[in-house]
Amino acid sequence: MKKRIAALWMTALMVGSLTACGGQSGETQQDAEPQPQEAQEEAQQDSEDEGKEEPGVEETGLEACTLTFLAWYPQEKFQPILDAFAEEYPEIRIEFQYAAPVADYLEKMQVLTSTGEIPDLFYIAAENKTEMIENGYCADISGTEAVSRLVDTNKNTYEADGKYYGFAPTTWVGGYFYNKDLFTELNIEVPATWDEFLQVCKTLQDNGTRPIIERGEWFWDSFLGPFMNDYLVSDPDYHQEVMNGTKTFADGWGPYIQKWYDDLIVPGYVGEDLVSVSSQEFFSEFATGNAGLLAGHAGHLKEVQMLEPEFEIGFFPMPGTSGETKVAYGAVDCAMAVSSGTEHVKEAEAFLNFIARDDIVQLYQDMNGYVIGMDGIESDVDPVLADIAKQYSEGKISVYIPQGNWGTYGTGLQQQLIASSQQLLLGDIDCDTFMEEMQSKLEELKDE
Amino acid sequence: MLNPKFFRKFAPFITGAFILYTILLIVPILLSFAYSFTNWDGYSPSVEMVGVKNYIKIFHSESMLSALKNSFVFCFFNAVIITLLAIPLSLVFNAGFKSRNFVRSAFFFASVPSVLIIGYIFQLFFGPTENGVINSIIGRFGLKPVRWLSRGVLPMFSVIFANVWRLTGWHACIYLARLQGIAEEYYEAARIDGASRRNLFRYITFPLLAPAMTISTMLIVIDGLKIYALPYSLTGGGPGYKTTFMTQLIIKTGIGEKMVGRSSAMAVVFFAVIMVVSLIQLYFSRKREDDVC
Repeated sequence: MKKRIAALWMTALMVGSLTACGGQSGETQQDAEPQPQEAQEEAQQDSEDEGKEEPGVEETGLEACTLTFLAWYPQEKFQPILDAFAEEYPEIRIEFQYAAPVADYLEKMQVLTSTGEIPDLFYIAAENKTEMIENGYCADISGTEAVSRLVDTNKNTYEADGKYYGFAPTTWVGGYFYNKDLFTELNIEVPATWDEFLQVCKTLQDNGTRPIIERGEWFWDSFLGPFMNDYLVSDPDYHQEVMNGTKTFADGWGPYIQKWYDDLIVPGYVGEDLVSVSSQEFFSEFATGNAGLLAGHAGHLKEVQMLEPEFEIGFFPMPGTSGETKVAYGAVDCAMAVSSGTEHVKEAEAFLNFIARDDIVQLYQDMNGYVIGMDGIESDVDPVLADIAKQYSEGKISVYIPQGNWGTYGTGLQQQLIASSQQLLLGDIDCDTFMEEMQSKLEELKDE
Repeated sequence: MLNPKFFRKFAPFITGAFILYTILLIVPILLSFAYSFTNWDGYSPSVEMVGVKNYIKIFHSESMLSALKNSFVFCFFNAVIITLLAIPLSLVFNAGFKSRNFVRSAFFFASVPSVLIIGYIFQLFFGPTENGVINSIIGRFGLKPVRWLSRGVLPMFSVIFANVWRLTGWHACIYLARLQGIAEEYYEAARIDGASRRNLFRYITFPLLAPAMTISTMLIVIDGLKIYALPYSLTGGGPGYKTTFMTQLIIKTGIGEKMVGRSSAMAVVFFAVIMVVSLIQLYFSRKREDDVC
């Protein structure tokens, strides 16, 4: 009998340890918190036991609770905001979880929606916002102070049927970072037009320097300058028309993909080896002076500055043929959303409103380095990006990234874009086939 | 026939393992099978049955056939190369030199780190620029950088190379365990008969390694067909679809393209393929064991 009890005990231990391990997969947690309802009861019980009310409860009218939060940014980056929130709202505990963007985050969110375990707060992004909003997983937060403070572009990115479902306080704006010393040494002027940009590439190449460094999955973005500033400004609904079938990828993108191929790929400014450049090489090639230009945004700038703090870096947006930049490479960042099923709506909204405060949104901006998209708040961005940030904040330029316009087909089309652009660069397909592959992928996704 | 006394004694352990196995493996497989007849996108609470539409689509899908081909190529070369390297290596492990425990540990260590980490490390090695480890070395001899992860068959070669590096030591340990079980008397008798070292290996060691070879090759085949993390971190499945394997395609289709129904159909077909391949391989391996023993 004793043996049997011991065996059962061992079995229970094994099951317990295995299921505990399973719960930790792919995420980090601030601590092993109890479930929200239990936490709320516990907190209330503690409060009663101590015979006094939690500080802040009376002032804010908020209940003591635990909010689960699946974040897009890692905890070490988010910690200053969490600390400030804990100080201001000690009765609300944040159970922080993190899944690395983009694929891991989407996978995690998909699993949580299918099992009905959606956190109280989570992020939505271009890749999943349509599904999350249309299937009713996001609460309408139109009435919050946080949303009311957003500029129109940031507000409208997460809008559906006149309601707002996401709070995205920042926007990333990108283009080309350049090696200032190298430009001075070679007497290169910062280009304002596509032709001048090509001349810069030629001068760099003649000097034995790699003109442009890009990562293997993103090098296609160097075609965007002329497309955005020559075509998209006159047809801002282009992608919507492609989605509803009145236009094709070949109609809008076709000539610009061909131009990119002829002007950048054929002369070797965008080299074949870029298809396999890793993030590490992406930064080190630029920081060591092997490449003159790096296509990227504030996050990439930080990485380069960490590698080479003394490196002198300049910036210019991706140019069109005319010279005037009206659209820059970039996108409204992912947005925080409140679960429609949360029992702590007020508390979750209080968290968003807290982040929207002038002093806290600056912490948020420090975290990602992007441009703040809120009325009346200046962005404390890196001086290298000050000009472009100012132009965006003043509404002089808009931002564009293809996958942000493809709705529910965003990730599928993006995967196709990566594969086809790699095949094009290696000479396995031509520009027409590239466009056909994009179009047939769209048809396939729509058919499903 | 299962001994009832034995079963009763260990029933709690067997039941626990059975429940876990069912929850973690059998249920997901059955769910995948059910989802494969739907159009579920992974998010929607409502699901529609679409019959065998997903199966028809995947059998007409070029990406599926390409991924299947890549998986088999990867699997075949892995099985051959790892086996060819692991057997001689196990003989070295079994030799009586002083530092053999250190050598065994060193080779086995490659299989310990996360496959994802190994992929990222090899990405640094195979980097296409002058900052890539291999290219910086060959650059010192005046050679031009090699595009390990983009040119021709090199991306597939690179993924196979990284996997062979990772698993050879581990599989050598499987052979070593078997080698240590071969009775010394066989060798002594053969030596008395004047057998050369080559013949000792050919007529004693190699045939008696058959059971280990069965296990080793079956593990390599299953692991090779299921490989995901290594190509994901090393090449991202590219360039184009050159190193996109079945598991990666299944996840891309389900998560990225939000076609969980179709990806489930791929998973079901792939499950059947792995099962058939494993059974065939097991049949021939067992037959070989019977022939030589």
